[in-house]
Amino acid sequence: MTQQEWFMVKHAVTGRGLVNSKTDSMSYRYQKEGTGFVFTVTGLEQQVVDSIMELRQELNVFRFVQRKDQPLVKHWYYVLGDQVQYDGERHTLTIYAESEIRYIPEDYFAD
Amino acid sequence: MINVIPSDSRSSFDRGWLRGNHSFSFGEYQDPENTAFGPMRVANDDVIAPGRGFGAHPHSDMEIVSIVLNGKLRHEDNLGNVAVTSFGGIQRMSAGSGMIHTEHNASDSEEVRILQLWFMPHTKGLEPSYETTSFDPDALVGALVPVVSPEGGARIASIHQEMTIYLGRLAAGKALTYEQAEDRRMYIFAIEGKLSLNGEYQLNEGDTARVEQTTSMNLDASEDSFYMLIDLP
Repeated sequence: MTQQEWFMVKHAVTGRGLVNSKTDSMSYRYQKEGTGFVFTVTGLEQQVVDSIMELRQELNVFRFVQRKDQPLVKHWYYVLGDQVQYDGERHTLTIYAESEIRYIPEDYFAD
Repeated sequence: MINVIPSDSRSSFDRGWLRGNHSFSFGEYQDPENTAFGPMRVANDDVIAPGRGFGAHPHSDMEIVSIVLNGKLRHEDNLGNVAVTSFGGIQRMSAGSGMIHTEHNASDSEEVRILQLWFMPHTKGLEPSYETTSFDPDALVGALVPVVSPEGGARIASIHQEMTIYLGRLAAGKALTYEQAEDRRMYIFAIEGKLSLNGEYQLNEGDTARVEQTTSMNLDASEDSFYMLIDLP
């Protein structure tokens, strides 16, 4: 089955987009860890890293999954700011999420 | 200290289906010097076209209050809440550890105008919750009626922050005074009409005052006025 998956980070208050794996040159790995989830992100520009670290208390982290002939499924992750870390030597951003809400936008009222 | 922010200095926008004014950084309006007033982070004065609205999206660790000024606002969330609110109604959402919701104009023919206000909660990771309440519009005349407070009440929505939102109306020539504890802030918004603050500052329709280090505030209406006062830390 064909599947597309992408990763996004936005500022939760203003909606400002920070990372979009569909359009940005970067890579990410996602895995479950204990009761939570870990995103390991590499290849980000320093300016983007700086913005994420500055706004780390207020991030909206998403994983979108689009399967062929299926509605788009959005996964939103609850992230606490002190669980966002950057390793400058390895140029690796690590985001630990406490929990996840999976939702299908089509299930909700729309215009 | 009273800082008056004129209506036309807010960030105005018009996307066709949605138009309005942002008082703090929001959406495409980004000003690092204007991101908060105490725990208050967002004050959007939005008009949504008939049948249109915001699709499913998440929030967390934010207290979100929607005050419907006219029209009908429909809310739906992942907790199973569906509500339609019109003037006199308040919606309060405590996003806590995460909620998904939508907001739409429930009418196919009439615009809806809402004040949407976001506040940081006193505690992170709260259990998500939602409620609607209704105040008595007739009780607003000559008064400051609490519509949101930490304790809540039969006609008062409860909020997870040490703050109270009041609404009121004054007829032209009438006045009232609000007394506040020290080390608190006031956010005053002139929804309609014209008010003077402590006899020194003028608030025209759409203007806001951000007030600090002032414990007594006299509101004096030079026109029939409708206003919101928020007492916050």
